[in-house]
This record gives sequence, C-alpha cells and structure tokens, in this order.
Amino acid sequence: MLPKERLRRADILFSFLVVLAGAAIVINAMGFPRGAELSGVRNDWYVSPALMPYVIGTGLVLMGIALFFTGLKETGTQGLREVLGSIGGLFIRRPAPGAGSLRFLAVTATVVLTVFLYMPRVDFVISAAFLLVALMTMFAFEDDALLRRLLVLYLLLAAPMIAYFASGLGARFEEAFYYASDIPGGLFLVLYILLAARTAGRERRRRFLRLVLIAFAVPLILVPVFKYLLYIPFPREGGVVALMDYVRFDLLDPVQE
Amino acid sequence: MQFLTLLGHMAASTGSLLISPLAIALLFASVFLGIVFGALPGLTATLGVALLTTVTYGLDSTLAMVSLLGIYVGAVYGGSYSAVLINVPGTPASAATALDGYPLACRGEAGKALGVTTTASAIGTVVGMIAVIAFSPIITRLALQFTSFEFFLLAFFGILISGSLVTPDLVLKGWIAGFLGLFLSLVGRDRLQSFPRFTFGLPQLDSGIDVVPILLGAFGIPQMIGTLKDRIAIKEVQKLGRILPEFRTVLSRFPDIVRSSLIGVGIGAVPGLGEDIAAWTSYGAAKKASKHPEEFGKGSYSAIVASETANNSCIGGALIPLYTLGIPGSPPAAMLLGALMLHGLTPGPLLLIENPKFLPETGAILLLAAAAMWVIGIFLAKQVVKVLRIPQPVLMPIVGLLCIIGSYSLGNNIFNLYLMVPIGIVAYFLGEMGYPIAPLVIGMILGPMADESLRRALMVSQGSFAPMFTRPVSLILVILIVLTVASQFPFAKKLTDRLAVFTKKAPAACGDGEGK
Repeated sequence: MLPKERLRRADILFSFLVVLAGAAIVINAMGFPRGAELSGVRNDWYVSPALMPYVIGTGLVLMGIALFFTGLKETGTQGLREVLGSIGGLFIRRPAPGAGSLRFLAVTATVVLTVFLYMPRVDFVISAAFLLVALMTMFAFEDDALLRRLLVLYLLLAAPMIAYFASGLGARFEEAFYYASDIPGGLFLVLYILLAARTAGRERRRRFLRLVLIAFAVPLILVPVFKYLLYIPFPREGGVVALMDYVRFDLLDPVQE
Repeated sequence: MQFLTLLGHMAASTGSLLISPLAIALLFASVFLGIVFGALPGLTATLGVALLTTVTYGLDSTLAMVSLLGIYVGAVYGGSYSAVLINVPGTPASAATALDGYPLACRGEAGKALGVTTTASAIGTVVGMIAVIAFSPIITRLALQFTSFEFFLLAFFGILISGSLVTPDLVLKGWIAGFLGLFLSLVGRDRLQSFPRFTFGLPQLDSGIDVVPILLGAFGIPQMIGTLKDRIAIKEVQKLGRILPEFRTVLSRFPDIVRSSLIGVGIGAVPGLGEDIAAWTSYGAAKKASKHPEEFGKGSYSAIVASETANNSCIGGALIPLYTLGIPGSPPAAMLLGALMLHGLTPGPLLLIENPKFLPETGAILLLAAAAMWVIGIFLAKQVVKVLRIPQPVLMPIVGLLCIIGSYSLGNNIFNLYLMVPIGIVAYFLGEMGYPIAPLVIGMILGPMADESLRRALMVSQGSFAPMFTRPVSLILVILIVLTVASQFPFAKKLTDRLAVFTKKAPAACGDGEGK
C-alpha cells in the first residue's frame, strides 16, 4: 500500500474516477426499460432492470464525493493542486520509469502479451514456456539493468509477432497449415533464450540454463496432468500438444484412439 | 435431537469416505497442497480453492467438496509454517501467529510451536465442524421464513459489513470496492426480464461475468505483480527440530481454546470477514484475558493457540451462512459458493432440504480434513518446509500460468482470460490504494441476490417499502445497515467520543478512578 500522504492524493484522483463511473452507470441505466411493456409484460419502475444500477451508480457518486472531501481534508488545497498538476504533467513530461515501475511494467507486459497475443494463437507449451522463461530470467538475477535489457528484448521479439497476426498473415498461413503460428512462436522463444543468455553473461549461464529447463518442464508436466488426467483443454493446442497427443494416444495407448 | 441424528448421519458419511481409497487419496493430496499453498507467502487459501475449483469440475460433488474443503483447511493452517519459521505469514490468517511463533522459533522451539499450531488448528477445525452441524439446520429454518426483502437486506448488509471490517484504510474504500463488485455482478442479461445490461454489444458478456476468472484475477495477478515488483524474498528459515503433538501444552489452555473457537465461529458466520479477522480478534481477547499479557508478542504459546484455533474454527463458521443463506462468510467460502454452483448445488435455504446428505457429508469431510491435516502436520512437516525454499521469481510465474489455465478451463472460454488480466491489474492498483478485494468479490457474488430480491420484494409489495420496516428481521437489518453507515459520519464519531468521555468519567465519580 502507498504511504499515507500519497494515498490521500491518490484518493482525490480516484474519487474523480468513482464519481465518473457512478454517473456513467446511472446514465447508461437511463436507457433501460422503465414503466414500459417488455415482451408483453407490464414493467413497473420497481421491476425495471435499471433499479439496481441506479442504486449502485448513485451510491458510487456519493461515495466518490465523500472520498474527495476526505482526501481534501487531509492534504488541503495543496494536495488538490498537486493532483491536478500531475494529471496535466502526464501530457507534458514523461519521466523515465524507476526500478519499481520497470518491474511492474515487466510483469504486466509479459502477462498481457502472453494472454492476448500468444495463448490464443500459439501452442500452449510454447506460450507457457515463453511466459515462464521471460519472467524467470528477468527476475531471478535481481539485477534491474539486466531486467531492463531483457524486457526490451522480449518486447522487440513480440513486435514482429504482433505485426504477423495483425496483418492477417498468421490467419492466412494457418488456413494452409494449422500449426503455422507455432513456427514463429517457437522461433522467437529460441531467439529470446539465446539472446537473453548472451545478455545475462557467462557467469550466470549455469543458473540461466536451470531456469530454462524449469520453464520447459512445467508446461510439459501440466499438459498431461490437465489434459489426460483432468480432461481440461488448453486455449490453443498446436504442434507440441498434438505431438503429445500422438505419444499418449497412438504410441502409449492406441486402444483409446 | 436433530443434532444427534445429524451426528449419526455424519458418522455414516465418515465411514463411507474412509472406505473409498480415491476419497482418502484426494483428501490427503488436497490438504497437503493446501498446506503448501498456505505456507508459501503470497499464495492464499482463496487462490488455492479458486485454482482447485476448475480442476474439480469433472469430479462428482462429494469428491469435489473433499478436495475443496481439504485445501481450504490445509491452507488456513499452512500459513503458520512461514509465520513461525520465517516471520512472514503465509496467509493473512496466520499474521497473528507470526507475532509469537517467530520469537519461539528464534528460541529454538520452532518444532514445539508448530506442534502446538497443528493440534490447535485441528481442534479449531473440529469445533467449526460441530458449529456447522449444530447451527445450519436452525438458521435454515429461520431463513425459510425470510422474504425477498430480508434477502436483499442481508446481501446489502453483508457487503457493507465486509467493506467496513476488512478495509486496510478508510471504511469508505471497502464500500466502494463492494459497490464495484455489485456493478460487475449486473453485467449480462438480467434474470427477471432477460434485458442485457452493460454488455456493450459484446455477446460474450450476455451470460454475465464468471466469478472464477475474477477471483483468480483479483487474488492471483496482484500477488504475482506485488511479489515480483517488490522483490519479496524469503528470509532464512529457522531450524525446525522435532514436532510432537503437544497435547499437554494445548489442552492446558482449555479456556483459550473455548474462547477462540467461539470467536472464530462467530466471526466466520459474519459475511465476508474471514480467518484473518478471527485470528486477530481472538489474539486480542486472549491477551486481555491472560494473566501474563506482557508475554504476548515475545513468544507466548497461549497467543498461538488463540490465533490458530480461531482461524481454523472460522472455516466452519463461514460455511454456516454459505449453506443456509447463500452468503459466504469468508473469501475462500465465496469461492466455494462458485464451486457448489458449478456442481449444480445452489447455496441457500433450500440447499440442505433438497440435499439432506450434504450437511453430514460436510461434517465428515471437515473431520477427516482435520485428521489429515494433523497427520501431515506432525509427520510430513519437514517436507512442507522444503517448499519454503523455492525462490519467488520461479514460483510466481508458475502461479500466473496456473491462473491462466484455471480461468480458461471454466467453460473453455478465452474471453475469461481477457477479463482476468485487466481485472488483476485493476485489483493490484486498488490494493495499492488501500481498497480491499474481499468486498469486491462478496459484492459480485451477492449482487444477483440483492438485485433479484429487491425487485421481487417490490413486485410483491406493489412498489411499497413498508414491509421493510414492519417485518422484525427486516427491521433489525435496516437498523444494522443504518448504524453501520451512520457510524462513519462525523456526528456519530463525536457522539461515541462523548459517550467514551462519559463512561471514562464514571469511575472517577465513584472515587476509585484515574481522576484522583
């Protein structure tokens, strides 16, 4: 949690958002049926689907106002001026992120790209290994300079993937060959490992290798457990999962096939 | 009489579970997993139950409950390992234990301290189990008399009281979190008229937002971000030594056990509070009642008995409102609610009537889980401690991956993943700004009940709010809500201060106070 003084300034800022959210809920609910007939049923005000949104929206507006005054009471008008200044400052200057912000950015960027870019399009084992390799190598060495370089590397490798899928190339190749997207996904994963190992330096190579092994072992253990024992599928079952299916159903237990 | 009959059924259920190797294997595995989850700082009982919920989808409801209650009981107890050995509570529920457990470990009594926490936790779980069996039928009978007004007010009161008591900063923030949860629960087609609310034209939102991805996002992602961002490292683990059951140490503190169990059950039964508040309240009460309060915080066995008995007895307490009213007593119980619904069981007054075997089965599972926890705690503690040595930068990404699988596996819906991540990031910022997450989840779970009950109640009364004030239970709930809200206004605070001054002056007037 933030220190108390910063907390109150954050409260002032957040109170605006709460009031806006509450007002937006009320305004949106005004479009819901009230006192009219819906599907042949007379809809009085108290049956309206807008009733609860009105209660919640009004509640949020009132609580947002109360939060604003609580923040103002403790920080004074100086606090309000600083908050407004910081909002303005967002559009003028962009200071370099501190170590904490960088680490936050590294975790969120990796998770967001995994969920929105890799998981739906690239084989689960490759996507999962990429997530684990990236996060483990970025954070295990407790070196912010290395973290910054590895984050840049990870983002640089994600950029062509975004372009590949955004341009429609990914979908077109997949029509011809279902596992097509696994190829660039796997390639970028290998590239990341090689370049990150170089960036990490020779003295860290042993530990780096151990992390890579863990990152690959985890999805390779999770797939059989979830898919074959618990019958839980994965967002994208590409080439690697298909290979595991082949081993499981065709080589080990052909009767089930 | 009914209590004895239920105990008889419970004995039969215990027997049938004991002769099922699969049930016993699942029980031990889930309790062990729960202890590991609880022991690892950053992983909570709620997250453990949430992750396991998705895995138990394919099991029948009894085996699913064995797994879920097993991990719940194990995780609440498991927090004491890191609390005693590294002075970092594995779960918020064991924060009070760390105050006295760690000084004991530093004195070379870690093994004895863990023996005490193990036995105290097992006793607490059993007392909680007795409370569920004893009180659930009574509350069910009472709840059958409730009308929609009472259910609306109960849901509303649950959100407010949860917001008031679990907030780390301003009470207002707890309420805002609760209202945000209520709003999330409204997304989708409303159940009375099937009108789409706040779906923004997205067909994926038509059926509403699933609780599991929200829970995994709200509890899992912020933990991962926070632990990696703040570089939370595990300190040196204290030497464990030999673990014995320590019956004599525990039972010599019988009054502490009784008091703490009752506090745990009572707090568990209040919607949305949970094990951490039970442990702290019990710790405070034990300190007040102790002949040696100066020993608290320096390594007192009474302190760890109090906190550990209370947090585990809270589990049973939290199940009472869940089973009888459909209102979860704690965040992990909120997750259990989602799990029950996945298995076709709707918590509420009809749950125990439509499923008469359910309550005895729960009692049997809690009893066996307490036994499994005790056995693992005494004989496998050294294996659990090894888990504490896993570095966080290795563990947390794996937890993130499990959250991804867990969110997706519910309905095999990629949209759940798309919801989980932003919710997780927002929950992280809310946590940083002092907003509690539990009321948000409670709001989301109780939202549909509040919405439907209010509208149904007004339909019956033709738009009149009068029954709210003429029905006794309704009126009590209205008064409680008004008092909860009014207590936050300056005039109420001034009034309480004046009353406090008045009560302080009273002894002085009698001639034996501080005034002399």
